[in-house]
Amino acid sequence: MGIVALLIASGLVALLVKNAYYISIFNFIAIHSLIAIGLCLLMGYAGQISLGHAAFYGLGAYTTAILTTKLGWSPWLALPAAILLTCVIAYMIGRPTLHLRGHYLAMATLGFGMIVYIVMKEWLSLTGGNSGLSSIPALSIAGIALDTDRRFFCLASLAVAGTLLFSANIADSRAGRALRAVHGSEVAAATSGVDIAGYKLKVFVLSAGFAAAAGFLYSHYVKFISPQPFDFKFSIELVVMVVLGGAGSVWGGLIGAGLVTVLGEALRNFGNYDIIAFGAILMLVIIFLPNGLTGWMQHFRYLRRSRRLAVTPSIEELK
Amino acid sequence: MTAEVLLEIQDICKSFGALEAVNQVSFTIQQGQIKALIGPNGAGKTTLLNLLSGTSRADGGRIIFQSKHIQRRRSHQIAALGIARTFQNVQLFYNMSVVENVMVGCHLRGRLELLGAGLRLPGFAQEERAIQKAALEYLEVVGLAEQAYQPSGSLPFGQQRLLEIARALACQPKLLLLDEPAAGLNSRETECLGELIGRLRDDHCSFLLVDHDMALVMLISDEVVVLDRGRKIADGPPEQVQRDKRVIAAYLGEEA
Repeated sequence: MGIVALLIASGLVALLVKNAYYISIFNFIAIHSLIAIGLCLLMGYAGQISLGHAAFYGLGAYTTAILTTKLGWSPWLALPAAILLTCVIAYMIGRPTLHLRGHYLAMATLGFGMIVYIVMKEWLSLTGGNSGLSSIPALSIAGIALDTDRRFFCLASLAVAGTLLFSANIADSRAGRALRAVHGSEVAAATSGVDIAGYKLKVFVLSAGFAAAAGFLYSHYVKFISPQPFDFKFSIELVVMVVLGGAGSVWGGLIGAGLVTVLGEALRNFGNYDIIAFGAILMLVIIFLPNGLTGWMQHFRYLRRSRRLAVTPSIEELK
Repeated sequence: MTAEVLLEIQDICKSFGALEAVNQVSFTIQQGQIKALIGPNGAGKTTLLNLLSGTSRADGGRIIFQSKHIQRRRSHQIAALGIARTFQNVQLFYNMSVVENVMVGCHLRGRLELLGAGLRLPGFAQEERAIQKAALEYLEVVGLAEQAYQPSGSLPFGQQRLLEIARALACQPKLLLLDEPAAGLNSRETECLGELIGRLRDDHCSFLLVDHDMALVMLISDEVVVLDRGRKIADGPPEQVQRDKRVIAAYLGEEA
């Protein structure tokens, strides 16, 4: 039902918002929320932190950019290739680290993000270094080129709706419960038959795949890429999105991506000082809204429900 | 008695640094048996359960469950073979409702993974319904059906212990390891627990029970193993163990 509301809201945005700049912000929100939703599954459900999701995002973006500009592939062929490559790399990082307890994944992804960033900057023949890759083709579906902000938004919002639906299905399934169980108590999950290392790895690879898909959209939307949007700072922004939106619900990814993206635009004039604002927001949220905005809203719903429950038996008693 | 041997422990050892927590312990559990494991604090009872459930790994010795060596398998593989457990300090998934806790216990009978669930492949709804139905039945067995949709953390402590047992039962175990299930329960709750264990044994489940409640242990168990400082000092029917000099010495702190 929430997804239907989201699609209607997106339709209204596409029809009513006239200013192309505003629509471009909605496009970036959509792209960022794909990554944040996957990260919600990883952080909120499996309880693992990645500090390198910007690198997976970058891998997706660069893979499709290189395949389409240098090898002349169709973007729709480059999409599965970008996702597959990113997932394989995520598997290779996750396999050794997720067997260990504790925050080894955070450390490994932190290092990995830095390596990927340096490769993007220094491998001039492949990535173009700081000047990046340009003239990436726009996407087209059935002969219609998605070359305006508004047309691209139609695709991007469908992608977000699909990702939300997919993730909400997972959250409400045997696999989703297994992930939450891992978060709740690892020993109890394991002795109930849940392969904890296996599930952590699967959801990590899945979230990397989502990030790669977002990178694909970014590449073909902006049509130019350079290393800067995929740096360590963006990995932190992604974590802020998830924490702010609330990792306990996949909707938290969308809400967090919306807020942080708009905030990023608003703070643009402050240049590099915006990281201070993000740091402050992260601290305030952790102190005052430890479960993020969605957790805060659920808390209210829960209070209302428990009040109702408290009243019902007393009516019974009156009879 | 010619009952089949379900579990055989041979010379199992586990040490933490210089402390030999479990030292060359051997015993067997027969099909349908309730075996109790008792001993003073620090005797190695919980360590032994951790070895059996794969929560930690033995330094030496063998654990044979239904003629399979399990001492090097991981927890979830051991659970799949049919050994479930509860914990001394209750380990519920407090981020989930009561029924969802038991549904995690049903994990092994489902089959759809992340992609299958995300795409709602055929069979998804059916599998979910079957798991939920089974989970509610286990709640019925332990008497928590009315609380099914409450957050698990809102249950009083005694019911949290029962919920843990329901979750373990949902794994359809052939052997259930109970680590101090009566700790923190009042006498009426302990009595119910004893009845529950008796009923479950009739459903062909075997038990290894660790507890300090001697009345419960002597009442329901078929055989008792006594550990003291990591070593087995007695093994036999309750009456015999109660009269054993070494057991009395271990509990009263005399030199044997």
